[in-house]
Amino acid sequence: MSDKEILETFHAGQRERAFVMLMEAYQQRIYYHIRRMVKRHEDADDIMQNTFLKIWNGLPNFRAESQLFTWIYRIATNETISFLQHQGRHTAISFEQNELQDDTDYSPSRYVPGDSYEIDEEALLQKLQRAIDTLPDKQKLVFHMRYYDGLSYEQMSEILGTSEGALKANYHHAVRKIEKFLLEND
Amino acid sequence: MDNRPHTGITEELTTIAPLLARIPYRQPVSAPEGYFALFTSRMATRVAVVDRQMLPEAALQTLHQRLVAEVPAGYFDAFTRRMLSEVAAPQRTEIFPAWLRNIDEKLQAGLALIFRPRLVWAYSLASTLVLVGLLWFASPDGAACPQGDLLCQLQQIDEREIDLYMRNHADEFSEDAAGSAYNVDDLPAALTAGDIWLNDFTDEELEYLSE
Repeated sequence: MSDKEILETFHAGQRERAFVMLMEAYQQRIYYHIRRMVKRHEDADDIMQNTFLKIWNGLPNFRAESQLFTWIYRIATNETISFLQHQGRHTAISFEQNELQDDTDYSPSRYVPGDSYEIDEEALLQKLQRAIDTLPDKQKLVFHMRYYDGLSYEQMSEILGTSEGALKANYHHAVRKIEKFLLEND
Repeated sequence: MDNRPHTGITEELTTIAPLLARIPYRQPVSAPEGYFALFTSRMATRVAVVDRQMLPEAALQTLHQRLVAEVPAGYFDAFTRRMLSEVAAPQRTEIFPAWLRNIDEKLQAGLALIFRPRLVWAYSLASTLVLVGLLWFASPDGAACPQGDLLCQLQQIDEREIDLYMRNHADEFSEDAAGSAYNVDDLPAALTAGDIWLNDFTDEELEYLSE
């Protein structure tokens, strides 16, 4: 079902039905987005409830100036960041330009693998998670949104309120760090 | 196989991180079985979905199997009605200006500070002492006269009482009555003697004679 159908149902007075439609459409994507950040299912569940309650309360005022999905995603992201801040595991996610500096040498000639590179799929997936865990919070968030959720830079920019350029830089730094980690930690 | 939602991402990765691009896409986390159906029903209940028919079949089954066992029957419906009645209640209209409410709040806070429950015994004791003290000092001469001390008792008689008594008993205080009130024989012997010296009388005797 489309965002348009959901909103039309809501504005036709069938608010609860529209809300159920919205959950059916988006809860899985939102859950995985949250869960990847907080790790524990119980925490993700708490944030999910807060997120969808805010969505329910905000739906009457939602104006179709942005996509429904990006609006939902923004609420979920903010809720997750607030949760992490309260847990003391996260200070702030900032996209200031001076924080984007990265002195690591990422020249491809250093670590591009050859064709004979053996890939143990399961081991690589585990290693990938360890590599992601080493990233700064802001790079981790951007990487998740791009790599796992497939969001465009435009959507990410709308959700996070950050310029597309800064997001591209973050994503590229994250990707290169992960690639380096995968190669150096055999 | 790349089942990533946005295929252009793989192409982008191929150029900047070839190894990462070759790792198959897979969600690193998973939700407990039945979680999403349960979540839908939980949230729908929380936002006052009364008509359960609109819930997906899977959510209904999960709700029946799990939620009913976790909370008392009818809890959520009652909760929803209670919440709706609370939010529907008319808001209290403020008729006093803000500065008056501030003063009232400060006054209330001050009184609450003074009359704290833990000080109730201290206040009771202090009140009792003050009451006893007031009663003590309110008595005319501080204490009752010892029994038999006529002088003390006479001093405590108010002049108005004496005046009132004399008015009511005027006949007893006429000159004739006064003269007949004393028998010469009852006077001390010295008064009947020829040479009477004042020094020979005691103070009580002089006071008696002067009356």
